[in-house]
Amino acid sequence: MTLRRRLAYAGAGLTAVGLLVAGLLVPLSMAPAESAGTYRVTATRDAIAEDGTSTTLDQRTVSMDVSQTTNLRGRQQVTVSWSGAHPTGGTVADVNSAAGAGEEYPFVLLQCRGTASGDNAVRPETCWTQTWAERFQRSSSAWPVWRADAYADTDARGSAVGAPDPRPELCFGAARSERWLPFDAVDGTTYAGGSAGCAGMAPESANVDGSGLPSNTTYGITGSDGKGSEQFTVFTADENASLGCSSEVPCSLVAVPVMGVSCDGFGTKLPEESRPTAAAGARADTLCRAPDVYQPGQIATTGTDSNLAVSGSLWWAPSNWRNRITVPLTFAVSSSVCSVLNSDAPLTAYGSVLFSDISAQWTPKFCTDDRLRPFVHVQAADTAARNLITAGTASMVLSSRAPDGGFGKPVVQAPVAFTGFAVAYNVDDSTGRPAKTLNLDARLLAKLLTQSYPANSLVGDNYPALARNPMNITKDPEFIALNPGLPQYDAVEAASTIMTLSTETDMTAALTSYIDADPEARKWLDGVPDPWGMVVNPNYLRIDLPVSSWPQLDEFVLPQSIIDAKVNPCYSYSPSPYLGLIANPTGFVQNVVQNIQYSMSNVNIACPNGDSSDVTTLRLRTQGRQQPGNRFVLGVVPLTAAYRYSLRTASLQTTSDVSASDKVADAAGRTFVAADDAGLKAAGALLKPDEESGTWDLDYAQLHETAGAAAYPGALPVYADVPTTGLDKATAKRAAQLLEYAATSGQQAGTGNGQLPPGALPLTEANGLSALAAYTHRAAAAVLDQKGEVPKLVPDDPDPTPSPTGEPTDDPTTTSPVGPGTTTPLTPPATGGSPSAGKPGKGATPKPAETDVIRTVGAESSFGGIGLPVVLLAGLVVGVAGLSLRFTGRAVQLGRTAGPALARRVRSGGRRVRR
Amino acid sequence: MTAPAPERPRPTAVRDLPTDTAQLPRPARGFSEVALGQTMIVLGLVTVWALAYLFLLSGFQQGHAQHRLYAQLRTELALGEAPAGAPIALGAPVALVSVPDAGVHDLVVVEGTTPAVLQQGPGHQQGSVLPGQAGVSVLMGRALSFGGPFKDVPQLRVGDPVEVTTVQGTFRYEVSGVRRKGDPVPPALADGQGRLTLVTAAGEGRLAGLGPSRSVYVDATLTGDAQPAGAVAAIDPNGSPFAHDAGFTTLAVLVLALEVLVAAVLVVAWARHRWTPLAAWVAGVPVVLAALWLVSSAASRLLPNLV
Repeated sequence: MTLRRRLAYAGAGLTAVGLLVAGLLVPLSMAPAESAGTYRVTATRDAIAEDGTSTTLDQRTVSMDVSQTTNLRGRQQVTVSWSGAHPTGGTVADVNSAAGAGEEYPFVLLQCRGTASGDNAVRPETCWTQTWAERFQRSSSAWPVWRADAYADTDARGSAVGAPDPRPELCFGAARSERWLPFDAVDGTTYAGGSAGCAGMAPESANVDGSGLPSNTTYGITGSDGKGSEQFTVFTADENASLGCSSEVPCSLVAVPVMGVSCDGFGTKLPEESRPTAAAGARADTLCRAPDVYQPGQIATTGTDSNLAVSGSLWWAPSNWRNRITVPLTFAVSSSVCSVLNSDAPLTAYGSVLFSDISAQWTPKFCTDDRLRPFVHVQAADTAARNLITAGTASMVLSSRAPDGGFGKPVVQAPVAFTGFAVAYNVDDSTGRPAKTLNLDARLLAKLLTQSYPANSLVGDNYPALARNPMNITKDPEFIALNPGLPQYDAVEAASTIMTLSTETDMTAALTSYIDADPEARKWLDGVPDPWGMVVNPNYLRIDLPVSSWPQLDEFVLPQSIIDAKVNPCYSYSPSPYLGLIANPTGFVQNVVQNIQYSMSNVNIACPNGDSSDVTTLRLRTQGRQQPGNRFVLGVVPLTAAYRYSLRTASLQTTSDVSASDKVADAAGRTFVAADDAGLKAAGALLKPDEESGTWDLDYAQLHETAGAAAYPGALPVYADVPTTGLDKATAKRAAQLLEYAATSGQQAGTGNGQLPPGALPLTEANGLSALAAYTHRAAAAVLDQKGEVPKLVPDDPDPTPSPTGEPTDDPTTTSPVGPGTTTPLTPPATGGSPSAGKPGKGATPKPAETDVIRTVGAESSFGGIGLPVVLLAGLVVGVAGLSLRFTGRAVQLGRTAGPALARRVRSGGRRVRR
Repeated sequence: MTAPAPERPRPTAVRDLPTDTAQLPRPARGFSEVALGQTMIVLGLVTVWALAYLFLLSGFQQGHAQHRLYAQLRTELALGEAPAGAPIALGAPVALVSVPDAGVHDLVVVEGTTPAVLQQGPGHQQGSVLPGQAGVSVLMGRALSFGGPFKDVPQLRVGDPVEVTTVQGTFRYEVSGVRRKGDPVPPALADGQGRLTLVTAAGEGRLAGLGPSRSVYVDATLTGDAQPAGAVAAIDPNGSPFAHDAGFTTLAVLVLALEVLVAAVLVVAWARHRWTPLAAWVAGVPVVLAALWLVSSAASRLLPNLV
């Protein structure tokens, strides 16, 4: 062995050890950032007697879990659960409403700008509340409860604290005692608030209890066992610019377990001159120690004021605030960073809505990592997007099916993700709390889609074909059998439909394929009534499935007598098919997601303030937010969106050994599969390569056999369709790079930028999907070549992964082609220790993990570099060449003929010109 | 009525002078060669003009624009009418900047960073706050042409002062670092802090002065209190670093300017035949130069905005 060879091996060995160490370090350093922790605090409530002795009234150890605190994105929901808190009384249905502040001993969750400690620590002034009532108190008594707060400063116990000076004219005269809690916006503006917001509120503030999106301030309800759990929605600067949280501006989730104001009614902690009189002190002490109005768990009654000393209204009181738990939140760099950082036009990928959450995590990575070229995902109808490929106007399309007639040219369909659709729901159980599970089978989905529930008595009484059907799904014995214990509604139209997309999407095609393959559902669609006698809407009888967008076929218009009676003036003004208004499919998947998240009914039959004499008021509107406690909405959404927004998803039926004619009373004999990784993994095993179409298809027939019993029926791969001929070199390189990324680094599960979001199953060996990733790898090579070649799904070569050949080299950057699951060329090798440690600059705020360190991308211009020198050089060359061409020959000749000839020539030339 | 008698033809005069039968001198080379030579000379002259314009004349143009903008901004500052937040018209003066160590003295900053706007002076990037306000404010300036107002900015050192005057007051920044591609972006700003980022281009290697090919970012931290941020305009994709403007308007203006130039040249050529050459030159050169200047000004918008 030569010395050179030996050195090469030593180098390779060292590199391998280095990579191994780095590989071990990465998960170690990532672990604390990824896991969301448990937080604990000991909360106390004290009381100080007239003689200054302090006694502890109540002491509790509260611990709290937060499901996710890093890489948060706008409007994302995190689950907060806690134990050990004081049970809540006077509970309200909508814990996000201002009415929640009236609860006794609520567990208040707030989003505040700032960190847990230090100069930039959270203050009540930086915490977001949507209404003025949550940050203003006034009283006609001299010593209200908040002035008896033992932990408040002397200044904060004055009679009018925080009032703006001068007092705005809109605000009424000052009450005897007032406490203002202004809101400090991120731009430095202070909004004083005040009664009805008279001194100014942040623009995002509004009383939105009826419509629009609710606040994220949550007055969580603690059960009698001291435990509770709520969903908390985080706002970024995009949703709430005044609060202004972003990857740059640190924010925290602050939990204030309200224990009650610690009483110092006699003012023993105040200086002599500020103390109340003995009589006033005794009154203040009694007021502060007043008994609770409600029992734990009791529902608030209108007109009964709760005990202010222990209510959520005083979440900001120092006695409560000091018991807070502050959980720092870090936000992912959003894709808006791309427009700031990059000047080169991104590669545009049209299509699939299923990919939108994945591209939300991938695009910031692609535009901040200078090894990757940016791309942008433009959501479009799948069918139309695939046509763009055929027409040659798009260089990449994301979709989940092969086009029916083929592309008409060589196109690779490279799998980039394995995700699917979910039936998301926001349904309350009979106790008024969100239902934890929901089981649906294909026949119930068919009933919802075919508009076979009458929805309300207007239809039920006048549409004979549906007259015998249950009013809505909650009244359907089949649904009751599968989901016992849910409340039944008489007139909730939203419970008779399911929100879908009106545009063409492969998600709908997959949903209808599932229904089509289900024997029960297909039979029912073909006209056989279900065991309880429910029949299909005749307009959808024997409908041909699958379809890419659900057709609106029902044409039932309410009878003329009802229209003339103007019960619903908006509808009477413009009568249209009524069940279509109830289904009201939307054009944007984000609308469906948002409607489910906030339980907004999309049924388009509301006519608020409809006045027959004024046509401008006669526009039908959607019903809007449902009252918490009586929520029922269903919708079809991408699985990744369901995970990102913490939407609950229904389990879908696969197999059933129940006879189709049995009037079942429970879910026995049926298998329901939840929309989770296990269900996706089992579905992945059912994928079959179809060389003819060039895709892996889910075999829906197998779902109803034992082999597919555990498979989630909503599973669906997403393919990147890229032509392998006709692309210019630069575009081909970019497309190939994206495919290569999708085949390797992109399949790392996580919530960070560049990772694969939850709800998509990584295409790895462990998940049995390595063949898909390997194909994408081969497809990337074919795209790069642009020779019109489309690799076969299953290579003829028995060993699909090319094994590394050749000898190890001493160049550590050269990596041989790799299969998924190993080190990839695109993952930056973690050299130089912990990735989060390399941040220079003093006084740096804590930065999120490695994926979020922003590096200067910079811009370059080759023209700027060589343009001017080249122009200068070219100009010189051309000028000299021109001069020599023009004059050298003549100069020689002139030299020969010399003086007189020249003179004559010049003279004659001059004459010629003048003539 | 009698017609006048026709004039008699003159008697034919016979010339008996000796005839010059000598061959006329012919060009030494063929017509095509002469034409090629002429074309190349003209090309060479155009190049010389282009370079002269970019390095020298465009500087005068910016100086002229600055003179006008300074007068406008001075009035607006005195009246308190200068903008403090969006919307600001593209090209309107917004601030006065001085970077003594980079040879920038009281230059007027204009709104926007499109190539056309940067012909008038340093530009304030839309999408960032105005200087002096809390947040990051970005100013871009050319490194080479139009006087190269920011050509010495990459040579700034940590601690060098930057002074900006807006309608909200005079703000002093201190340079905190120079970064190029791949360098970490400075940490996030705390509440109420301000940062000014000067963006220009610089070259590499031997021809660095001639070829500003990469963007350079100079960060400066506000000393003292920032004003609250005003409204911010939407980011303008036509104003990103090295953006060039080959839009319809620019091309249309360029075509019109070229038409004027061609017309001017034709008129001068015609005049040279009709008048004396001297008169044609005296009258024609200023017209042609003005047209050429118009063409150059429009054509330079096709170049990257930081060059």
